Amino acid sequence: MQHDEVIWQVIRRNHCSYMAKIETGIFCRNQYNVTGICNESSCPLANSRYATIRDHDGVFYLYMKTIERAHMPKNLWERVKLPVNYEMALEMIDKHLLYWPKLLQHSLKHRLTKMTHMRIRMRKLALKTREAVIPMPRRQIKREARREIKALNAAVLDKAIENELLERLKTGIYPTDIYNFSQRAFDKLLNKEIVLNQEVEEEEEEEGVVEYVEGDDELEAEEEEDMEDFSGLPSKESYLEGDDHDSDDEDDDNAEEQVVIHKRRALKKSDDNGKAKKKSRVVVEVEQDGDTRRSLKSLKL
Amino acid sequence: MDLMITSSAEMKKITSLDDDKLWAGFDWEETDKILSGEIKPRTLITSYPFPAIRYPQRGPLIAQELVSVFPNSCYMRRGIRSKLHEVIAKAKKKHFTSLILTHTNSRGHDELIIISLLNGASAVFSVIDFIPRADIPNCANPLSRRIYPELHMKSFDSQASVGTARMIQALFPKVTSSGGRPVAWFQKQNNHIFFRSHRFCYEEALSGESSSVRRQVQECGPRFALKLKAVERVSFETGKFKLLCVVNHCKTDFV
Repeated sequence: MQHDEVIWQVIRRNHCSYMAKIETGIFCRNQYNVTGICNESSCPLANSRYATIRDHDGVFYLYMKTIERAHMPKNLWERVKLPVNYEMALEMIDKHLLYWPKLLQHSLKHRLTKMTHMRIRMRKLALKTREAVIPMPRRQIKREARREIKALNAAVLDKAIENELLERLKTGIYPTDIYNFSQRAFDKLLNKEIVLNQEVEEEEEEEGVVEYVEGDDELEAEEEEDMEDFSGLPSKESYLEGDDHDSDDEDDDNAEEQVVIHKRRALKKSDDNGKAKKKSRVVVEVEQDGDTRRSLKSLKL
Repeated sequence: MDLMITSSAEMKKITSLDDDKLWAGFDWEETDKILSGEIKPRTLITSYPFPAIRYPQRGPLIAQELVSVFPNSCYMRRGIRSKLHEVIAKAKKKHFTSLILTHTNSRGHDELIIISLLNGASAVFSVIDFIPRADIPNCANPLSRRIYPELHMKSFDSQASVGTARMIQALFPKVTSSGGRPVAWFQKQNNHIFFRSHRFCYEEALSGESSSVRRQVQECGPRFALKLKAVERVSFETGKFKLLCVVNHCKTDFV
């Protein structure tokens, strides 16, 4: 025999495992609950005639239970597939729940509306690429950090690098002498060049296009000699490029300096310029960031 | 990033040092051309389109530092709606040979993906301990980007690591060794690849001393450590990644 009132009193007074009490209210965790609130009228256990809508993979089903089947828990819930169209689904609910209590009909339609909204939203979100939230167990993080420190210690990088490079120097792999980068000398040069700048026509260069020609035996020797005498060139450019690497304007300035130096030092400038001009120019879209270089620490990142 | 789900048969888990398994299935002809000097590599560095949850500025900052690490590279800011395959199409049109993506994931760790636009191989690294140039004490001035660094790969002994070394080498143009170039140093140690960049400089001694000039090695360039996490294949049309290998973090040394 099915006594709803008794069931309700027993459940509510003593213990219901589906009940969840939060500061905002009392909720029901039962999956068949229409509203989600722990109420006598919304409790699926305490109502022998009840209906819900549940969602399986984006398809909505209308579940109904009647008192005639109360003794058969296996066949208790009758399932009807609802059409995707919202209006047709509403009609279907009306059809199946004719002569049912108004409150239940109303809350069911309310639930259908909410679920339809959710379905639309989930579909829209699925189209966007969003960042996946990756959980990472703490143990793994600690382990990796430990391993990295061990590896760093084992590598002994600084010494290895110094030894290797100084050995290379000794064995004489580097055919020419290293050139010096003294800042003051280049500042002087820089000041002188800027004056001459305006008179010299500039050569437009894109980033990374003008390069020393590698692997070409005839030109190698020339180039190395040039590099030797070009002690001013690289550091000065670096001085200019100190802040913003991504500026095309700066490259133009550098080009000017370069051309000027060529002429001043009276070296094999023509060859270099010729080479440079022959290079194909690829236009690169580079968006300028207004950021100057700054340490990550200062940004507290 | 879109990840296609691969069947377990295709997905290989690295548990042993097996070179063929890690880098098989990719066409290495083009990369060899870069290594031999025929093709000049060009790298496009960019970050993920959507801002990261925790540290949104970090990804682009790392990308900008990397521009100074890899020669012949440029940084491109990415719009929110741009898709990967569009970026790849643009890059291919302008003859870029590699694409690097930087990102800081929701955990706060940095990731780096190197995609070779020649054969679609992509290596996913996690970047540990990224120290930008500004934070390094006594840092040397960065040289002009037209002076290409010399590449030095150390301790890449195992077969699998040779493939990884190739991916990194494909980003640097081949240069003749001559003094004064900065040296880009990649050292492999226990599954980690450490990067340092140094160059020679003169130290002007004080006037009292006899030897006027001393050669010193000075650090320039950022520092970071890489750890290979996965090998994927990128399809150029759809821009989706297909996970080929996941590198299990076991004690044995594979990469």
